Amino acid sequence: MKKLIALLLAALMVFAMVACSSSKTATSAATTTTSAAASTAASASTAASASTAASASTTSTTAATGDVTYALIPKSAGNPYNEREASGFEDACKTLGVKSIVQYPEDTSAEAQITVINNLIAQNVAAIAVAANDAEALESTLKAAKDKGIVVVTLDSDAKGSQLFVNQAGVTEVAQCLVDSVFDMTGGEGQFAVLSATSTATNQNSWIAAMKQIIDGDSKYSKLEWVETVYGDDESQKSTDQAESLMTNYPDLKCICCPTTVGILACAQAVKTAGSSIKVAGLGLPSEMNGYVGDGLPCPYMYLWNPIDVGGTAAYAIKAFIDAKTTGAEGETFTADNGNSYTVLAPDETVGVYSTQIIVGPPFEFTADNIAEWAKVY
Amino acid sequence: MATKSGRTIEYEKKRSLKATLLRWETLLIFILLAVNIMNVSISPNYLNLYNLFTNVSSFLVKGFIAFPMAYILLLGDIDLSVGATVCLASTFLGITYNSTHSIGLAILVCLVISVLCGAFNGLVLTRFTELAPMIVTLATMTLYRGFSEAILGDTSTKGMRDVAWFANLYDGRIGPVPYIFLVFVLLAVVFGLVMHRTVFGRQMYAIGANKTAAVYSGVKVQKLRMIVFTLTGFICGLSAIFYCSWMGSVKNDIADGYELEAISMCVLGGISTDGGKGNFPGVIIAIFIIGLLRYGLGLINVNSQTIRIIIGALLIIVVMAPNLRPKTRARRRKAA
Repeated sequence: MKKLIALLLAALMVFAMVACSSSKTATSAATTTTSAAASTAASASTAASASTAASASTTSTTAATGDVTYALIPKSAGNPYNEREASGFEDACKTLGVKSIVQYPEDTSAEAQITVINNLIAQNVAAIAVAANDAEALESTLKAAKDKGIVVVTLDSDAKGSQLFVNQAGVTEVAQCLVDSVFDMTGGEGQFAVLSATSTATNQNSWIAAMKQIIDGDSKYSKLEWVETVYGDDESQKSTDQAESLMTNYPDLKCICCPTTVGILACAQAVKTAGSSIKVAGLGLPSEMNGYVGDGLPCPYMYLWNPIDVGGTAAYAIKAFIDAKTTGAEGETFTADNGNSYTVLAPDETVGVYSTQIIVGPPFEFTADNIAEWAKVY
Repeated sequence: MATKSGRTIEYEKKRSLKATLLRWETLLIFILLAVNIMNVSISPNYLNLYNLFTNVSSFLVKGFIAFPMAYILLLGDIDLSVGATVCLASTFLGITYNSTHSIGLAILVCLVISVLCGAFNGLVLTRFTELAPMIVTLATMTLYRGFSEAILGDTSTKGMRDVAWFANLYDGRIGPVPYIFLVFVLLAVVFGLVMHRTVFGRQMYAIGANKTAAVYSGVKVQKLRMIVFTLTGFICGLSAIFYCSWMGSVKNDIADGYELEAISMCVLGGISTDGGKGNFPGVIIAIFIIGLLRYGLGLINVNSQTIRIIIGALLIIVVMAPNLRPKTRARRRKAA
């Protein structure tokens, strides 16, 4: 008898949920508890936890009026670089008067990003900007988005199937800065290694490919020995382990180049803890690397750009697409709503840029002089 | 049937409306309905059939594994190596395709490898019956993933989607209904019928309920276990094929967590991890509960970390639920 009552209460609760169309009011109906029936407990908690979660954790910001929504999918959660990209994107969307959605994938895999992209396609967003975890795996999903009329751009890390790649800095420029840092820090000859992010990350792979092109193409670098490229998967523990194993396996190592903010921090910390004289070069966030950059410290200088600008430029590029100021074709020049003018450049598959691209700006050097000041900005 | 003492022993369960309503599957259907009603009310985009099937396809890739996992759990065993098997089979599919450019051969190799993986599990467990399945499959999980890592290193193998018909395995649809869904339905029917309507299925229940009694009843326990583990390997190969058709690129860390997903689907479906209890329709409903709940919450942009918390809470409550019943039954008996 008790069980039957419990079942009836569960059914009642379900109908209460439907009747009160807002998900928040369902929580009050869901607090029935009976000792006997698991059914009430199970469906009650499901509804309660689901509705509280639904009201609590959406990350969409609402701007002015308008149903137009731009969506951003960064590479992964828990990475300050990605978070700054997202904040730049959200602020730009607010200025443009559109809604923005930032959805972090569960992990640094393509599968997680595909799930998010499919959810966004189902929500009929106006545009998707994605920092790809894998250049090829996303292609069919992005194509499905384009077929529905959604504008698809990539930023930070390119993927096949994108209409435009918002490149933070020219691939060759970034690679040149990295190679020059390594050349300088090793004194022109010696062993160096590269600690990258994930093995499929398009942006890191394109810089590494460009670095190879530069080193092979100029005899000035012939005395540099590139011993190994390891992958830290943008996880601080794994990156630290990889850095330490590099130091152990190559006792003559002079420099580690880390084209990823998670990697360079892990490397600098590992080198400092070990008290080693290895130099660390690469791309790092000033706010994280403050204290590791300078003379006598592991990292004499490093490069980056403003990820807030990268996120913002992606939003403005999307607006330019929607306003038909550009079609993403090579050679076009357009002025975005932020006042800057961009020229669409050709793709370069040898360095992992599969779509036409616009450059946000040149890489910026952080030294002991300016890092404290920039640490406050990003 | 009257015995010598004159007492009548009922050998057929009383079929009443009350008994049907209080079954586990009824609870699951309720939860499924609740999930769907919730999803419809929170997002206007939910009922778009095309998008719904797109999402369903993605969780069916790992949903296949729940079928043989149900059999394994029914036997009272467990298999933690399914994710690693999918990874290794996909790895072999990728490297075979890239070295021979014959996708047919690659598919064959993938299935052979996955069957071998499953058979190896079965062999070890049936030859050394004193070993716990959890430990053995934990070891083979590490072993198979280790092979994948050794073969691929940190790179990925890709290009499978360049073959149009292979990519179409995952992408292709009849109307809005994807091929993978049809394969899923077919397999569900086959697995369900075997579990509930054949001698094989009945023997699995017997082994799970009381292995010693099953042995003495003449059930060939070890042969059955071997078959089930090998079947698991085969289905993992199938999952690997669909994964490669979907992603087109394989790394050494793909299919991570598939074993836990499959076990969750089975446990939610009412299969007891001790063995001998559970119904197949429950598993199918459970697969859809978890998949659709994730989809619905994703549609309103709940972040994936929160979704994980919700699924975890759902599972804990569902697992606790059967344990509440014996206690209340005992309490009632005491009171009576």
